[in-house]
Amino acid sequence: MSQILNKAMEIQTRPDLAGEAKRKERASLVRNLIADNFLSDEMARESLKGRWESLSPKQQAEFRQLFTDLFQDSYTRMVLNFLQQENIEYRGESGKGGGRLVKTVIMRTNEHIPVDYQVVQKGNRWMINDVVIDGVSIVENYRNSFERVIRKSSVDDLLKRMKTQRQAL
Amino acid sequence: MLKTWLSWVMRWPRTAITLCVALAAVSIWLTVERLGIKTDQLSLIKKNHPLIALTERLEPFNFDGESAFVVVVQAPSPPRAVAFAKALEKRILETPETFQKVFYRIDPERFKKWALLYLDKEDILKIRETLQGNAALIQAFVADPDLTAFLQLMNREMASRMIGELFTGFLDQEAAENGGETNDRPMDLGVLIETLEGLSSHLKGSREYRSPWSSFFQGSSVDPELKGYFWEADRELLIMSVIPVKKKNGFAFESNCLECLRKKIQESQAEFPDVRVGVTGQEALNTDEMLTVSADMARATWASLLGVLVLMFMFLRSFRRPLMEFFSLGVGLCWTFGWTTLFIGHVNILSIVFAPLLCGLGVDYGIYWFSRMEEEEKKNGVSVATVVRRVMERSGPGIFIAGLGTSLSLLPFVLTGFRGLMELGLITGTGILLTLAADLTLLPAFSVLFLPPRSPKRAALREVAERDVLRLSPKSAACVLVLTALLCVLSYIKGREVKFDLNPLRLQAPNAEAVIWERLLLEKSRRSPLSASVFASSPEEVREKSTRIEALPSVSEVESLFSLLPEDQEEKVPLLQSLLPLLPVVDDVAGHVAGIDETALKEILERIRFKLQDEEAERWGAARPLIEQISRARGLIEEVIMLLATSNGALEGLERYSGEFRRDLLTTWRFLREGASVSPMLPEDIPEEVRGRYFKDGVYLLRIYPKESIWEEGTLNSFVRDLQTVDPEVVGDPVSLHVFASAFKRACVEASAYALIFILVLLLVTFRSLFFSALALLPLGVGALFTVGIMGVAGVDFNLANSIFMPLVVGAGVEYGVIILNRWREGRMLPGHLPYSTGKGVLLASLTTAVGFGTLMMSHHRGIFSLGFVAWEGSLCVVLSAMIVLPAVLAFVPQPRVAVDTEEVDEKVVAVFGADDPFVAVGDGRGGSGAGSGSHCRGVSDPE
Repeated sequence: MSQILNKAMEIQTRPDLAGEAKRKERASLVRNLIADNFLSDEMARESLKGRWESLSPKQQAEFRQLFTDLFQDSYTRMVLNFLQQENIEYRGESGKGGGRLVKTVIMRTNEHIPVDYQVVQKGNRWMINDVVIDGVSIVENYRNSFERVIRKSSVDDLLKRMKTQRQAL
Repeated sequence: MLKTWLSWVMRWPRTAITLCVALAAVSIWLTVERLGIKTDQLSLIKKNHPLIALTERLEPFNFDGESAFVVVVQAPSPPRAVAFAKALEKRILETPETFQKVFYRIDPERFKKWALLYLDKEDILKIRETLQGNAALIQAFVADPDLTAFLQLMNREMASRMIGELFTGFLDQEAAENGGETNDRPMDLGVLIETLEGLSSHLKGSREYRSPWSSFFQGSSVDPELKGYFWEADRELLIMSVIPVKKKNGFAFESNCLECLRKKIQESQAEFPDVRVGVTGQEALNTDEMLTVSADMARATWASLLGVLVLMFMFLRSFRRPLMEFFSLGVGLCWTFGWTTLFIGHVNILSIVFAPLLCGLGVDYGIYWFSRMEEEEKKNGVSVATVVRRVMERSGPGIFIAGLGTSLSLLPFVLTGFRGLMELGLITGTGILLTLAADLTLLPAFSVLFLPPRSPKRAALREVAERDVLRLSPKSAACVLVLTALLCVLSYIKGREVKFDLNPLRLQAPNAEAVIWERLLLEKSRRSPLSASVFASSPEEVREKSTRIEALPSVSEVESLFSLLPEDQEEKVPLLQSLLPLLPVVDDVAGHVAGIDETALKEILERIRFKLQDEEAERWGAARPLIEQISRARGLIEEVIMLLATSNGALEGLERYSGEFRRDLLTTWRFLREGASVSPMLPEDIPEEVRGRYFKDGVYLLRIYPKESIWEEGTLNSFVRDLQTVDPEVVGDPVSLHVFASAFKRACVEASAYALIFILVLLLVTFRSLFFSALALLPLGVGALFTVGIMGVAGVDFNLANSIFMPLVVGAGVEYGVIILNRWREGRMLPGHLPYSTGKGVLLASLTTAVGFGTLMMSHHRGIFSLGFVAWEGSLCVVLSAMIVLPAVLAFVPQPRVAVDTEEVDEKVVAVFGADDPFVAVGDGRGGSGAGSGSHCRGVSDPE
C-alpha cells in the first residue's frame, strides 16, 4: 500500500508534471497505477451484489468493462483533485486470512481524513478491492446507487446510463 | 362710548391699570392651571363630523382606544433586537404608574400548535423533501442528539455525498436532465455554519444561543426563538408598542410619558451600544410636533415682542412710549390666553400660533395712538390730558374701526365649521379686540400718569409736514401701474405652479426623532404603516367586503379575523400529516444526557474541514453559494479549533453550547411532530390579544392597506374614494387625513371668502362707495397675487399649515389700504404722493405685522416655518402694494374736496407754511380745490 501511495504522491508532485497543462499526463499515469492495483472486476461484481447472478454473461461483461472505465476515471479524478503534498500516516491493519484492512490517514494542518484500503492477496501481490473514505465505502456507494437505478428502472437502463457517461469522458 | 370710557380711565388711571394687571394675573394663573393642548388631527375638523363617531367605533380595536408609542429597534441581528426588547420591556414595566403594557410579541406558544399550517404548501413540501433527503441523518440526530454525534453525522453525510458525487454523480445528473427525481441535492451547509457560529461565540464567552434549525429548513419554518415578534424589513427592525396608563392630563401626560420612555430607552441602550432605537407612531409624532411647536412659539412670541419693541423705539424715538405699548400688548396677550382657557379650554396645532401673530397685529393700535399723540403734542400750550382727549376723540374711532376690521377678518373663521380654524379665528379675532381694549385703557392711563408734556417744535413740525414717503409723477405712476400689471401676469403664471402638499410628515421638524424613525419605517416596511378600516357584522359580510376590496386597484392587502387563519387548511393538514412518518419520536431519548469529548470534537472537525476544499468544489460543479458556504465553514472550523486549544473558558463554553444544542434539537423535533399532527385552526383558536384587533363585541373589523404611498394627494384620494365605493363608512388614518386635508383646504378658502365679505361690508359701511371699497381691497389683491407668484418662484407649495396665510393677511392688508385711502379722501394728499405721517404709520404697522409673522420662521416645524414665510412675504407684498400701487392708482383718480379742521386751520396753516405757500389755498375755509380739479393740496399731518 505504501508503495502504491508513494507512487501516486510522486506523480502528483513531480515538477515536470506540475500544472493544469500536464493534468492529462498525470491522469494517464494515475489511471495506470489504479488499473495495476485495483481489482476492478471484483469490485464490479460486488457493486451488484445480489443481482450479479441474474445478469446475462453479456451484460456481466459489458457491466464489468463499463464499471472499470468509470471507476478508474472517477478514482483518477479523486487522486488528482484531493491528493497533494501531504503526509500519510499508517495506522495499522486488521483482518485475517486473505483479506486485510489497511488503515491510513491523510494529514494536513488542522485537517485530516481517514482512508482505509480493503486488500486481498492475489498470488504474491496484495490488490485493492475497496476503499473506505472517512467511513464511506466506495463499493457500497456504487451498490446503493446502482440498486436505486435498477429498482426504479432496470439493469439495461443502468448500463445505458453508464455507457452515456463513458462516452462523455 | 369711547368718550365715557376715556373719562372714567382719566379719572381713575391707577385703578384702571390695577384692574388690567389683576385681570392679566388671573389670566396667567388660569392659563398655567387649565389650558390644554390638543394634538389629535380629528380634533381640528367639525365637531359633529360623522367620521369622529365612526373613528370612536375603531377605538376598541386599537388597544381599547389607548394611545400607543411605537418603538423601533434596529439591531445588528434579530436575536440582539429581541434581547434589547426584553431588557426595555423590563425597564418600562418598572413604572406601572406611567405604562400599562408593552406589546411586541404574540406568544408563539399560543400559535405553536398551528405554526406549520401558516407555511406555504411549497414550504411544507420543501420540509418533506429535506426530511426525506436526510432521513438517515435525522434518525441518527434524534437517537443521539449530541453535538459531537451531530458533527459526526454531518461528516458522514458529507463524505457520502462527496463520494457519491465523484463516483456515481452521473446517475443523478442524467436523471435530473430527464426531469426525474434525484437523490443527491447539493448539500446545504447552513445548519453546519450556524452550529459552528454558535459554538464559536460560546467558546468566546457568549451565552446567546440561536437555533441552527431554521437553516436546516432553509429559513422556511422553524425558528421558535424569533417567532411571534413584530418584525419589519426582513427582521432588520423590531416593532414594539408601548401603551401608557389611561390618559390623565392629555398632552402634558403624553409628553411626560414620551420623555420617560426615551429615558428608559437611553438607559437600556447603555447595555446595548450596538442597537439603534427610536420612538415614533402617531402619538409620538403628534407629541413631538406639539413640543417642537410649543417651544418654537414661546421663542417666536418673545422674538416678536422684542422685534416690535425695537421697531417702536426706532420709529417713535422714545423709550417710555414703546415700553407702555409693550406692557399694554403683554396685558392684551395675557387676557387672550385667559379668555382662551376659559371659553375654549385648549389650543391646537393651528391656534397655537396666535401669540406671535397677535404681537404683530395687535401692536398696530398703539402705534396709531402714539403717532397721533406725537402730532397733537406739537401744538402749542396743550396739556397731556388735552392731548389724550384729542387723540381719543380724533383717532380713537379710526383705531377702533381698524381693530374691529382686523377682528372681523378673523372671527368669520368660525363660519367654516373647521374646528382648527374656528378656534384660531375665535382666539385671534377676540385677541385683537382684547388687545385693542388694553390699548384704549392702558395707553390713556399711562399717558396721563407718566408722560410729561412736550414742547412743540415748530421746525420739526414744518419738516414733518413737508415730507413725503413717496412722490410719483403721473409718468412714474403710469410706469408703476404697467410694471404692476406685468408682475401680476408673471405672478399668475408662476402661481399656477404652486401645488397643495398634504404630507404631514413634510411639515414636521426634519430632525425630530419621531419623524426620522417614521421615515425609516416607511422606507423599509413591506407595506404602509397606515391602514383604513371597515366594519362588518357577520363572517359573510367580512368575506364579501374582503373580496370586493381586494379587487380594488389601490388596495394591496386586506386583513380580517379570517385572513389570520392559515390559508388552504384542508389541503395543508393532510400534507403535514404526511411528514409524521419522517419525524422520529423524540420522547424516547429525552432523558438521555450526553457528555462532550473535546478531543473527539476536534477530530471530527478536522475531518469535516478536509472535505471543505472550495477550490476543488468548484471543479466538481458546486454552485457558487455552496462554495461560499464551504469557505465560511472552513474558516469557522479553524476558529473553533484554535479557540478549543487556546481559550481559557473553552470547555465551559463547549459544555454550555452542547447542552443548549441538545435542548434545542429535542424542542424542535417535538414542535415539528406536534405541528404535523395538527387539526385545522378556528377563529376561536386565535389568541384574544390578536383576535381583539379584528373582532370585538360582535363587530368585525377589516384592515386595508394601500398599494401606494398615501402621503401623496392623488394616491390618497383614489384609495379613500375606492374604499368608499365598497363602504361609505370607511375609517382609519388615511380617511382622517383625506377628510382633514379636504376640509382644511375648503375651510381656508371659505375663511378667506368670509373674511373678504365681512371686510367688504365694513368698507361699504365706512366708505359708502363700492369703488372706494374696491380700491381699499386693491393692495390685498395685488399683494396676494405677488405672494403666490413668489411661492411659485421659490418652489414653496401650499400645505396644511401655510394655507391659512390668506385669511390672516386679509385684515392686515385691508387695514393699510383703508388708512391710505382715508388720508387721500381727506383731500390732503397730492396725486402720486404718500405723506410721511401716513406712510410712517402704515410702514411701522406693517413692519410689526411682518415681524409677528416672520418670527414664525424661527420654528423648526417646517409647516409653521412655511406659514411664517408665506405670511411674512404676503404681508410685505401687501404693504408694498398699499404704499406704491395704491398711490399710483390714486394719482389717476379725481381728487376729493379737502376736509379742514376749522378749529386749527388758520393758526396752523399760516404758522407752518406761511401765507405765500403756492400749494395752500385759503379763503373759503377749505384747503385745495374742489373734487375733480386735480390741483395739488398740502395739509397738516394726520395719520388717520
